[in-house]
Amino acid sequence: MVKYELKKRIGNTTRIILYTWSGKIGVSLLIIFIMLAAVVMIYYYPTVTTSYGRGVASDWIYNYPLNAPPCWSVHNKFKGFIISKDSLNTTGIKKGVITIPGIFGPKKIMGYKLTYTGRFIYTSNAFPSDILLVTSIRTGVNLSYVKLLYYLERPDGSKITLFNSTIETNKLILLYGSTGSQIKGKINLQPLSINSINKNSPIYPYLMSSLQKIYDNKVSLSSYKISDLMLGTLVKDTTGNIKLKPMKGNYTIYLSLEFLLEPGAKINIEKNKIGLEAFQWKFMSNCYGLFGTDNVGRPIGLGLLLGIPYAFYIGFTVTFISTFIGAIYGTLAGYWKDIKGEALMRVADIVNSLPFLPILIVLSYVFRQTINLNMLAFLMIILFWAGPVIIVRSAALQISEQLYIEAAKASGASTSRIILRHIFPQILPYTLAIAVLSIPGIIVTEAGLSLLGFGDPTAPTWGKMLQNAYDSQAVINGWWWTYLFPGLALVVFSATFLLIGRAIEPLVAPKLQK
Amino acid sequence: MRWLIVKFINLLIVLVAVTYIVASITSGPLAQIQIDKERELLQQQLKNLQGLTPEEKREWLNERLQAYIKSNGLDKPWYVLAFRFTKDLLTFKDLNATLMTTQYFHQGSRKVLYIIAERMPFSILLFTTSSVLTILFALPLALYAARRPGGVIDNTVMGWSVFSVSMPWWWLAMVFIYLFAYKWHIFAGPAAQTNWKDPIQVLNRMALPVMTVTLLSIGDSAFRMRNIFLDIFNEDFVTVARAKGVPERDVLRKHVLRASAPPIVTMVLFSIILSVVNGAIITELIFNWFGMGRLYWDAIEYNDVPVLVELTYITTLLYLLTRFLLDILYTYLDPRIKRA
Amino acid sequence: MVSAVPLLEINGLRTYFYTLRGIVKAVDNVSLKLEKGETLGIVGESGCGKSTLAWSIIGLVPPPGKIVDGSIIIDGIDITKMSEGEIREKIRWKKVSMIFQGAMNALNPVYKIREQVAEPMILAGYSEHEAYKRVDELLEAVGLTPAVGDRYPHELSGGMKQRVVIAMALTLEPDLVIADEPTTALDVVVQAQILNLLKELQRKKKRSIIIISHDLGAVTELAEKIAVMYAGKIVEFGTAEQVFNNPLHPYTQALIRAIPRLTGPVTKLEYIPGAPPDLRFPPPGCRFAPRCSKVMDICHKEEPPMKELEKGHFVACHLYD
Repeated sequence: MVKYELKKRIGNTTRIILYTWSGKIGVSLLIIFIMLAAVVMIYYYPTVTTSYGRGVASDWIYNYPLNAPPCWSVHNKFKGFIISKDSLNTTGIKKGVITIPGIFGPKKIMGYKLTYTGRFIYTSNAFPSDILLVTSIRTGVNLSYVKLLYYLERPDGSKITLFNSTIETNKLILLYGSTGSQIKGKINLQPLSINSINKNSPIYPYLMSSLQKIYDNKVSLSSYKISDLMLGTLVKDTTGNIKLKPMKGNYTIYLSLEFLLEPGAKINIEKNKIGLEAFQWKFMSNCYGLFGTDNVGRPIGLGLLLGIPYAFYIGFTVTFISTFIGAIYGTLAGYWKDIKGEALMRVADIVNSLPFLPILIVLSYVFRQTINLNMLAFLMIILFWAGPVIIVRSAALQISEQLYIEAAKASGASTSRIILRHIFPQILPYTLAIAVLSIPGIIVTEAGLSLLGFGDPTAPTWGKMLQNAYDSQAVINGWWWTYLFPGLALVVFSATFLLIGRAIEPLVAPKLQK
Repeated sequence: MRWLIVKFINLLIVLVAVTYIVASITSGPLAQIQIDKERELLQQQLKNLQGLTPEEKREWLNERLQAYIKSNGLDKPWYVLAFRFTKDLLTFKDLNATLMTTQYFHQGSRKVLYIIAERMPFSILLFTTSSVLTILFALPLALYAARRPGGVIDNTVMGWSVFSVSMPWWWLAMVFIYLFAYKWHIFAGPAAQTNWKDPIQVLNRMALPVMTVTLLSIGDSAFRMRNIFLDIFNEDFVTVARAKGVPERDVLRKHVLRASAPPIVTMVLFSIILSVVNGAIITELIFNWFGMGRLYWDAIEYNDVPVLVELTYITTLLYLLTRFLLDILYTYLDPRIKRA
Repeated sequence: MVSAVPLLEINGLRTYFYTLRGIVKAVDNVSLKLEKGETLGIVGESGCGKSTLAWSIIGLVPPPGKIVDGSIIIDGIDITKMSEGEIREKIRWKKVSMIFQGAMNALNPVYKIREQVAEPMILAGYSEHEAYKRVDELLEAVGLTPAVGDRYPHELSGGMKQRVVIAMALTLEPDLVIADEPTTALDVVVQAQILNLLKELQRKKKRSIIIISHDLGAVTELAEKIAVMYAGKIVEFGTAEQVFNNPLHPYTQALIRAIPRLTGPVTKLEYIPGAPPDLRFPPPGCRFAPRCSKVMDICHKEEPPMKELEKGHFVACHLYD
């Protein structure tokens, strides 16, 4: 019987919620969000979420372009490509005449030569967002002299030299790139962005002087990306302004090693181990997916997805715990009509008249070293539990004046029994509506605290994404996608609960039904 | 009169409670700041002392420092310390900032009260302008929406209220700054140099924050007002007024507006004040607006605990005072409350 | 002193509410006539359209309601053809005023009684002084002290408020006063006082009154003629004695049986089974048929026409075909 009643009540509630358009939209959005959250928890938790939350560039930049806008917003798209070691042509080690410096000037002697060439055709109207580069060379034993020439030949024949000098023998030389993680004892070399090239990098002087030569002081090099300059050419557009445009055509990457053996040594590839160890040129696309990427290469779309369970977590924990506390508190305050109830109300009044955000900020400031999502939730509960007390109390007052409550009291039922069996079940619908309607406030507050730097450092919440956008000065840099989408996700998520809450309201307050 | 006293006592209790809470969670850093200051002072004196070994010097310093801590009660537990700091705050005792100084006013003063005072006009300018504009726009919108419930305006108001409540204000601020300042170059952005003595420049600089705050608070205010108006429109006395032959304009002005004045004035003003206290901090930060909200951020950036604490105290004080005044205003507007 | 033109003549009035869930036919083809000085009672269960009829007479049908058809002629002028502004200026309160349920929120909580009672007079061009003087007179006339004028509505009891509302209705000496449930929500003693007051006003001032109530007993005490409404239609019309002593329509009979009596044989108090029909989809034929104890086959098929069975006593029922 009771079960049937409950079923009917739930059925009625659902019908009323679904009757309004706001309820329909709200519930469908909620279902979508729940499904997406499940996807995150199954596939991405905790490895991807943690790595996204930490936001360390090296986790991302090798696979995603930096600060790439969404592809639909980009007119001239550039699709990335890779020139890997396997796609290079090599001549193998050949005996031939090489030029070495001598006391009386360069002199030609017989030596060995090893050449690699990589070709690509550049057809896009747009530049890549970056070029990731790794080049390392092994110069084996028994060599007395090694010279490395490394350049990019452009379609017009001009060359951008990356290196042109002798190198040490018997060594693994990392020309460009970083020694990343060690995998099974083997050092895994990672490519580095050419745009963020360090001045101490061995290729920096060569690169800069060739660019200087090509552009011949017509433009200030520092106002362009290096990758743009490497692939670009100056073109006068229709208005007569000089602009940097990609130079289309055949490019060749040329890398050659000229070397001499120690006297008496024989060439033996196994033993000498001379040649290219690691090589990659990765041209990063100039846009990414539907939502773009941020300043450490994290795809925004992934972040939107990963943020969903966190939004549920913080929103639900805080609202349901604080509403539950508030409901019990309010019921007691309404039930006790003496000084006890009055005292409870005074305390709730005090908590309700606290200016929330300033106090939350002070609290988070003091605990900023140890802050995490649970703690944030706890702090919010401390401040928000008194919110529903006034409404719940007035409802409880009304209910507790009903005859059957008097009857229950007269029949000797205990206070806890009256409250739990008779009053509380009737209060629940009110509190449900209050809870649902207060979720948006909680989520917005969390985002605000994140922006101020009091967010959980490991949780990839939408607030953290917004903070990252703000900290990277995305507004001034024009990276609108880094803050537009997380904010929209937040709005849609909050609106979901507001819509459902407004659909529930008529259940609670029939007066509003008009 | 009795209710007035009760309300006022309530205000005092809340004020003391908040101050005590804030003081107790920050008492540690506050005490440390005093100790550090004394140590600096002692080290200055130490330089003038001659003929002491480093050992002796250290001993000398430690001795005096311990004496200072004892005599000032800085070794007391946090709840006792908090009690003292609460007293300092409540009596507006001079607190000095550790790092921050005033920028325009009392050239480089360290007094926290001065630092707050120079920021206050900025906040007041920004938020009163937006509040006035909000009411000017929201009132007619709400009236119109309430007269035709379910109409286009009504649905727009409802829809926008959903968005404005579920949106972090500062997020819309970022979007607006991008669009209006950096993309279309209509208004000055937050990075613009502003001469605060030139009204045109100030207006230009104010345009974006005022626009954002107004647009967002209209959503919530108009929705609340609409609900109040809708209730009043359904009241019998409005129909009675019409039956009495009162022209529609007067029905609105004399009956609907006047009868809804008490809840509207207090609720809307209160929600605006609440939004100022809770929202100003981040809004001002995003707009780089030199107000009290921004000061919170600055204090956090500089790790300046005294500023943070006193600012929280002043904000709470202002907030509670306004609430108190609104309570008085309500009873003035609604005759039903007067003798209660 | 019977004038050629009746004070109020309603012909074939239809007032419908266009709601999202269908058209509610609150008043459906109602015709009435009221001479000067006459008192008419309109009786029926709540939701039968009697209040809508009253709102139609004063031209204030609340949205989404509309007068769809028919005419309401007051003193020879058809108000359904008048503009809103004309009705406001010529009819409301000057020709027709209304006594609302004072216990409800008929009084604006933020204005003093005096201001509210005087408002129509000031709008009609009285000076404030004149208007306030008249308010004092009126308050005395309804049995209140002029000091009440300085109070706010929340400071008055239900009965006092009802008296204020009556005083307010009399400010401009209208020809017709419509009293909409004037005694509902008042306790019995106060109800009697208010009814006496209305009776007195009727006797002294020779004013036409339409009294609307669900309480047949209260109405018969006051009204000379009674119209019984059911589901948007008038089912019986006649003088008070005719209707009360010789009810013809089964609905009227049922209503009378539902009044508790102090005299006469002790009978079981009856109630009418069922509920009034959904006015969006009224049953075909006689609308009372589903609840009628004397229902016949024809009742479900044909709508009964209005017939005059004795002089001035009309009924719409197939029993009398």
